[in-house]
Amino acid sequence: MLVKAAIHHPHIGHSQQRQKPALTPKQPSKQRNGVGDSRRGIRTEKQQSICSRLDPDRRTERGILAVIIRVQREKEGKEGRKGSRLVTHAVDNQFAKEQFLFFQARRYDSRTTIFSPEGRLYQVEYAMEAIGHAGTCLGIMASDGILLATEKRNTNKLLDEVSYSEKIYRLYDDMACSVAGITADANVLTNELRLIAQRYILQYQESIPCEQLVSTLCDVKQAYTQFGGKRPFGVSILYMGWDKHYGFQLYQSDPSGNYGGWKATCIGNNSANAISLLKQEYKDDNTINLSAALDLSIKVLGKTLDMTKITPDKVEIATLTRENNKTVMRILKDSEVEVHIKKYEEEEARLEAEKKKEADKKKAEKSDK
Amino acid sequence: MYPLSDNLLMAVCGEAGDSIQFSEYIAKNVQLYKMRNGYELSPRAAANFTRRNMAESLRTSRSHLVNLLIAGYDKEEGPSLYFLDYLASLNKMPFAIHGHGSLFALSIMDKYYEKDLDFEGASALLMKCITEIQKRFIVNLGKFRVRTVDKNGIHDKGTIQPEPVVAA
Repeated sequence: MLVKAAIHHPHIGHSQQRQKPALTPKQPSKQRNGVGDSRRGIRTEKQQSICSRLDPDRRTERGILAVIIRVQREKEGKEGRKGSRLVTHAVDNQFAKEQFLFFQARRYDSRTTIFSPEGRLYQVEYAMEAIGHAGTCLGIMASDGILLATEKRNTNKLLDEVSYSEKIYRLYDDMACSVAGITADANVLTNELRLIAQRYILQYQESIPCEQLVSTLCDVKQAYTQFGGKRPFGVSILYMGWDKHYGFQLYQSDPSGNYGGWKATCIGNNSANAISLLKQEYKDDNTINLSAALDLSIKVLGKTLDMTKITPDKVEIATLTRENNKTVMRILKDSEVEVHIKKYEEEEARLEAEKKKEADKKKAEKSDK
Repeated sequence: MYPLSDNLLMAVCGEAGDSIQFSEYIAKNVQLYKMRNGYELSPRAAANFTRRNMAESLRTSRSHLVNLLIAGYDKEEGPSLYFLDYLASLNKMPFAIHGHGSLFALSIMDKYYEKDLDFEGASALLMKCITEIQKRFIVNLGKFRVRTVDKNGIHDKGTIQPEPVVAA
């Protein structure tokens, strides 16, 4: 409990920050009551002797020592005691030790912009982890269009369905996206995407090509893994779009700022399974049409979502096609989704029956022998 | 006259310094776009980009006083010609002209331009304009450089030097 209280104390973080520039030793000029000016990292002989008693790893942590001193000072009250005693006291104090260990353990993963010794950025990895628990999003490219299918998790019947769709956002005339991750972060990012698209239109009076939009947003995402005091966006995005350069396109981007173009892919909960299933089932995008892609999306969702029966209110599907030289985007109605679900269930039942038949046949053969 | 990309051509007239500064800025930005994205700006996008930059500079204390013609060829949209003046008004035109004696030539083109003009017809019309300017405009303008843009890119068609007209 004490540890917690100390961490939230505003002065502590402050003194630690002030400490930073003093990492190169200065001449010990300013001394008060035998205490080195801890805010400037200058040590008295007493302090130095204490430091040398610490193990070598601790000695490097001058900032921590300053925190310890500061914390102790707060505890002793303003009337103050002899500085030299304070310091000795602090290092021996259990509370201060805990403090120190806490900082030690979280040296690399509490800041986004610091590499761990293995060369990893933990915050980015944690963000990816968060997405692994989010609702599944699936994208499939077909010869005559493209689709996004998402898992709907908010199926509370008390929910007022004011919003048109839950996780699929229209970005501009030629593009839409679906998101997996923290919804609040996603709202910020989709707003940014729409701004990027409109800025381009303002400048060129033309729709922004798909990849440019994705890559511009990824620049923003990347910045949050590099500049101080920020947390990366906990959002992966699937984009579907059409442009005059490359036709139908499907992109995926993640919190690190990486992105890639796909024929079919999946993000969110259980996405690895879905991707391997897609790998098996997906035929070339020149042969698969949108209707077949819809069937495939239901099949993959049906097998990867952890629910026994897939229903129209648990999935949301959007398609993007070209009609009369214009991009058309549509969210499928429940009844349309139902058709594909029925088809999937019939297919499953047929396979099941076939399996059973086969098994029976084998059984019969065995008993004959 | 500045080639902006493989099939985009820009002709400039106006303040001497401004015209170089501005057209170079546009040309380099069009090149940058191509390097960043691997494909070129369409003529329409390039013209609108130029217009936007012109409009923004117009509303500063140091505006560019430049008039432009932008010609380009797009695979989908075909050939196009854009007229852009120093007040940043952009128009897609079948024919356009800027500069000295422009009004003489404009009336000629207005009269003789036909919708499905081929290259030969356009050349003849150009000659008509040049002779008219030579005849009616008070200054002898000297040489005219001719370039064309089509689906194969920009072509240099040499220069035209009209005979000086001497009043009888």
